[in-house]
Amino acid sequence: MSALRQVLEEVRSGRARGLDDLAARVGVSRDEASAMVDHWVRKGRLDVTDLSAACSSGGCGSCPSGDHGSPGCGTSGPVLLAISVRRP
Amino acid sequence: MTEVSVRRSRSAAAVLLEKPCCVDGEDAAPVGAPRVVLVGNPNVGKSTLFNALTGARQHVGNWPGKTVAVASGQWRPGSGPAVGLVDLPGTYSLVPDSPDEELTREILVEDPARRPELVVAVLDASNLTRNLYLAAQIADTGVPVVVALTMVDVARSRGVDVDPEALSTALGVPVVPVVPRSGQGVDVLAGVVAGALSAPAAPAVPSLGDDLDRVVAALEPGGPASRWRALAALERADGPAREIAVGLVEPGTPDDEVAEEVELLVAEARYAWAHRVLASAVARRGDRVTWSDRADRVLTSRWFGLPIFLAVMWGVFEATTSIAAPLQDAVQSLFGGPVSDGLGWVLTAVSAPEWLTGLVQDGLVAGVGQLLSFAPLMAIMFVLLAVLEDSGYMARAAFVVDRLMRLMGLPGKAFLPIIVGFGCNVPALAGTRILRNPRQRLLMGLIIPFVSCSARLTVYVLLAGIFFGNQAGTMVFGMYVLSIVLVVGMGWVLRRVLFRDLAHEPLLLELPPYRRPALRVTAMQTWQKLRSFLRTASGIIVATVTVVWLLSSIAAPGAAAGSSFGHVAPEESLFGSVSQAVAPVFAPAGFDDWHASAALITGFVAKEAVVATTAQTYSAEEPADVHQAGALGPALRDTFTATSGGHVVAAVLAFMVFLLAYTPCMTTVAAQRQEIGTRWTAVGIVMQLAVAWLLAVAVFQVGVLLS
Repeated sequence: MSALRQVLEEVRSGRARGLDDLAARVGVSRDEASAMVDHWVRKGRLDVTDLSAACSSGGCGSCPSGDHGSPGCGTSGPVLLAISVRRP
Repeated sequence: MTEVSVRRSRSAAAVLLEKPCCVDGEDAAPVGAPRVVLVGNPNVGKSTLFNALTGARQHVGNWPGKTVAVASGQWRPGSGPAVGLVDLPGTYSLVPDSPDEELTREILVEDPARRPELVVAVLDASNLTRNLYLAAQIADTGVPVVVALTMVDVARSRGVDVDPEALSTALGVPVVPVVPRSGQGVDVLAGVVAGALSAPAAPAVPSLGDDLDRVVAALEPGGPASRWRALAALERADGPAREIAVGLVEPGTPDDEVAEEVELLVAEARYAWAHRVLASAVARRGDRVTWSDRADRVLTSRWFGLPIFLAVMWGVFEATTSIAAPLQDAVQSLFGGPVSDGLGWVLTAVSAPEWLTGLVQDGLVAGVGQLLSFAPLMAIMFVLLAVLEDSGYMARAAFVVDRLMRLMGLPGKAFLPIIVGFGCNVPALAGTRILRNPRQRLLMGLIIPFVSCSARLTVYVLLAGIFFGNQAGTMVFGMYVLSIVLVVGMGWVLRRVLFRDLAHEPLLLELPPYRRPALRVTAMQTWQKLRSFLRTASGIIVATVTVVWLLSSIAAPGAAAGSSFGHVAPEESLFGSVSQAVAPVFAPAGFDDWHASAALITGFVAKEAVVATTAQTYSAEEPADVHQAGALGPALRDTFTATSGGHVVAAVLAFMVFLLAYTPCMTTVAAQRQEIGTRWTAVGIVMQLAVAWLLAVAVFQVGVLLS
């Protein structure tokens, strides 16, 4: 199986703990693994979600702790990227 | 830029690539000048390089017939003649996903009249793989290429050394390292471009392996971009390429999947080519373990991650309560003494009616005073949380909590709305939309109200301060731990009872780098959150206090003779009688007192109002005492002592647990209804009340047994 297909399979299986782990499992560099994840995202097979944007602004308008679309706990710092399989 | 100059700039861009016979404007290239285009991924320094090459001699405008902005200008590479230079939009691939990318493909492949004489491929050395993928596609078009290699210093800082000469050999084109911002390497690039223009040569063909190379060569139609066209036909698997494509894929591949499979084969071959190029031109300095890696090994460890997270959060709440305590006392003293007395004096001086004095002193001042006494506490907590967040630790905490969520059978991404819920449940409910599966959203919509929001914190702090003294911070922390346990436990139970159909969703989480928290960002975040909390909470408190005062002033049916508006014993008022009617429900939990049930009733509207209502109900009953600072403490202690039969700690804990678990506020109910519908919202409210009551009873009864 090619590295490109392996990347997709590793994400599907949920075995990899992060991009470094994914790269090690596939036997490529982190840079290559990242490019291949992007490839699958472009092909619509994977999703990369910037979790800082998870809270819709619509939900914060009536929040006692919210402010101008920001949630009360704040999510402006460095955030996780969630890479998951896109469902049809 | 004026309207006239914009029109002229569009025309200039068109001239450079559409009508090379013409000249428009003094900044455009001369008649017959060679055309050079800059192509590269987004954010590789392409536009900075364009600015460095053209200086002020450039225009920016939409490409004719498209809403795609391109910059064009004149550049004189070395001592050679001037050329027309166009900065094409950043693109990841010549197989377009957007109008920007389509324009690049059109210029390089579709229209021979627009084909440039040279492509300067701007490649980011720190992300070389995806850049090489595009470089391979550019080489397939057959247009002569010079590579401008940027971000070499960034790559080096990551332990990646790119050898330009080796890269040039592997690619078969000149490679020039440049630093666009400083202009370093630009002169060398100019000389190499001038040389390439004077002796044009097609780039080396990126080999896709013997099999693919052979069939592509057989399909080449000849003429410009011949190899690219052959590959495109093969990837579409149409026309004469169909039979060849079918021969390349696994036997038995469905007809409608042949094109997709061939496209994948080509992509695999390009990545394999990029891998070979990297192997020959890039040296990685071992497996460098940075301090960030070492920290992550501990902070996200399977064994230590969760205890460290809990210890950090304990530290936050301990520091918050201990630092804020003297400040809270000062604010309470101010409002309980000078402010209340001063307003009372003013109202008496202007002969204000008795009811107005009562409303202001016993209701508004007491309520707003209690609220403002929490301002230092909230500010300190917001500062600490902002520092944790801005440093990148919160992302690690999310990573750790995510693992816990999945362990308990909850959806992988579910931790995020939960973490948002610690600020407020309302945006957390909206945040459940990140879950694609409606059943997952429903499950999350049902358990998010168990996440302890910041409004509940004020009540915890008040009660913990009164009843647990030096252990207040630990008790508050314990409530948050209990909240997490409740969320996970209810998620676990609901999934096994009502949501057995939910499948596990695999997920890969990528941690961001650590960074030093910025003072300005921290201060701004803290101020915004504090201001917003106080603004909204003060509105809720004023409205609730007024309504409670009004209901407390109206005599309930059956009140003592002589009772009238404003002259009624609190427990005989409309509010008091409703609260008294509810109170017996809480007898098994040890707090069957109308003050407690009154606070819980207003807490159903908004938790921000609980403290104010508590102050208000005691104020109405013991006006002489509650004007003194800290009078609420003894009053509450007396109440819980009486209702619990002396088991005060158990009763207070039961009350706090009930407060944590029952319906957060009416706004949350409205948001819940929007997300999961009326029926499930009703189910949720019943579930929250039932769980809260059962837990409170359990806590009290166990507490009694243990004591």
